[in-house]
Amino acid sequence: MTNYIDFIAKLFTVNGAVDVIEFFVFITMVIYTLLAFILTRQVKLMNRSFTTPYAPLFRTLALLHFGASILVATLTLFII
Amino acid sequence: MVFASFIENPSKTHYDGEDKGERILYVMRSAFLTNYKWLTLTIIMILAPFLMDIFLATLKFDGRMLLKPGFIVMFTLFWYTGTFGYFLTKFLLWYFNVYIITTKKIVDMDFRGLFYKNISEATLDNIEDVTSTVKGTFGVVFNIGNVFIQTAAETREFEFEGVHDPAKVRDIISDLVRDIRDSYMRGKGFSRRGEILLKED
Repeated sequence: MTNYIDFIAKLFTVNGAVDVIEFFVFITMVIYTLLAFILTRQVKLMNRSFTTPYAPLFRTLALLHFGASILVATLTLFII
Repeated sequence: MVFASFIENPSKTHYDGEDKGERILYVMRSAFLTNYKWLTLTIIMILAPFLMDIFLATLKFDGRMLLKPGFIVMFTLFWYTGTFGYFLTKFLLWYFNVYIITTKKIVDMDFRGLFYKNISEATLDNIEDVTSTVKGTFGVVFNIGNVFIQTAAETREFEFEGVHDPAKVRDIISDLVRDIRDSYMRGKGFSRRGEILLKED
């Protein structure tokens, strides 16, 4: 109980506020990773609806973007 | 070319719903210049970290940096990942919002955001009226406008928005409609000028 109160009290300090901000930034990264995944599905749908010679390029870019968002979120988890 | 907004006889290009034997004659999109708003925002987003990182690094408390340097680096990488995602999304929405003219029909493919897809099509012989408009300083200077197509199909109206040289697009569609009606009338026993031919007994 004392630890819990100390934890809540720490959040109201400057360092605690920074920890909260870093946590919410990490949550934002996780949500963004989900959006990046949805984008890969959307690219697949778009390529199926309208096939062009650039379909492999768009698919690769979407996958690279998804991979980068996962990597950034994972590395941030080790830093915060 | 990936940034082209008017492609004649595109190769290795197909759309969902294409009939057997149907050939795509033209693929059109809004002129690339119409993307200037999100392109400008993308450039701002690319340059923003140069100022943002300096600001974040100068935040101090008790003589020490408020944010860990590693966190600032990760946040910058996340920012650039997001910038790339924004650019890619906007570009794909421009690229895949196409107006297709085939040997049989016109197709309007719309993707709005990540969760909306609409495809409308009408056969060429159902087209009743084609009108082109150019308005505003931007439109007049760069010859960008809209082509409005009225049909007798279930989708009564098609609008090709922000196309380059809309008068040329209007002319292309009108010519195709005339040609398909001429070939239809010849098949029915009418002359090229629409006169009824005398049938042999």
